[in-house]
Amino acid sequence: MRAFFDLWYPRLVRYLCARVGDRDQAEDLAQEAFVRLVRHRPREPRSWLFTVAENLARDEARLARGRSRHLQVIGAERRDELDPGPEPDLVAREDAERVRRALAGLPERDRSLLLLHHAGFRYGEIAREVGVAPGSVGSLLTRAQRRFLETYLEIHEREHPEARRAVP
Amino acid sequence: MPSPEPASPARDAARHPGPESLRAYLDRELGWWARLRCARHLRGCPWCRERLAAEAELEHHASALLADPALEVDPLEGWRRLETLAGPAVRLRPLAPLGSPARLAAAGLGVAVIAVTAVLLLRGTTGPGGQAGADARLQDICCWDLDGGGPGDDGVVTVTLPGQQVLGLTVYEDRNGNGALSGEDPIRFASAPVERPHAESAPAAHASATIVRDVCCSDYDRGGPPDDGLVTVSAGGKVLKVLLYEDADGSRTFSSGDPMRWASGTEAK
Repeated sequence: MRAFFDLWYPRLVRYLCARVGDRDQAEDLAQEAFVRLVRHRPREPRSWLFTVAENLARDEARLARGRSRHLQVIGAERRDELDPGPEPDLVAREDAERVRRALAGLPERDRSLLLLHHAGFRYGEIAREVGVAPGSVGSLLTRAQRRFLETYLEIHEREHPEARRAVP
Repeated sequence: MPSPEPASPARDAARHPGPESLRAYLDRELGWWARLRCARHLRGCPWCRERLAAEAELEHHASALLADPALEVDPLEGWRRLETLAGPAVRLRPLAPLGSPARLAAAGLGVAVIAVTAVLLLRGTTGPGGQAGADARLQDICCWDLDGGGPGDDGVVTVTLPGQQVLGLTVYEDRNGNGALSGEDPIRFASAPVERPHAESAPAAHASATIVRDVCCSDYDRGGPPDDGLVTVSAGGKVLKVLLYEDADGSRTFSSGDPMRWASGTEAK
């Protein structure tokens, strides 16, 4: 279990972070998924873990949308009172936010393909998770990566019109 | 983007690897033989090398964006937190369920085969002076991805004599993720008990016995110096299993420090 945890916990946190855009929340969700894994002891722990984590992230996003509507009202009332202060890692955070938005702009299947591949899943596992033929994973992945880069660059261009577009 | 496909007869174009194969080559998803063929083609085809480079560039850019350098995750901290949340049982309980009695019996049989193999090997390694070869040892080397079904879940148990060749081996799937062969791990392959395969022993007397040979070293992967070894298991003149490994520790035999590269019959589908 320990070896499995050491290998998959960091990947799961990164996977969830790309999904929810918040590191602390990603770690909380990953912990919750692992606690459930220990209790259920599924036959295929890797796939099970990522599926559960994905569902947790989805539930959390639903709750967050509700919270966000509530906070917008409070935020509008308090905006004038708060001093935003300096943001030393603003550029990195903006970039991470662009990546998150580019991912959010992709079709669900492309997003899953990208993130599972990035987490180290093999073609066979990705095919099972996403529901496609194993033989088609390679070309779908290429297409998903291309769409992801294009979406990212479009967002970047909108924010920085002076930047030149260079899709590889 | 790669330049347009060079004008060539249709039969030449058909020989180029398709986009699927090229992408699978990049992601190391091709089987050993297909990979070798693809590598050979790439050596002689600048157009396909260009296509591969374009795929690699795409992969590089996408990975770079997805890899947040600020997101270094410390598994130790996470593990401590998990212990608090799930209790100390997290260390003791196997990850996979124990399964049906039939599965347990099958797994138990696999473990028993290994034990019997080891005992027979120890008998079979009796030296000229009649002293048992007590140096024979079991090694459990885990984990690699031998079946293309996921990273690091296949293990190999070998029976070896120090400084000599592998005498017997068992391939298993580390289903419970504990990094070692245990009761519920399915056995994928087990060589039959063997007798010490001395070249001088009479081959006729052991025509049906399982022979395990460890031949090192050649440059099978064309990756540099001759540091690749082959372990073959055969019986009755028929090869049952082949394992390709990299002799990383330079011992000229398969040992625990050597990464496994490929195993026959467990290739990715």
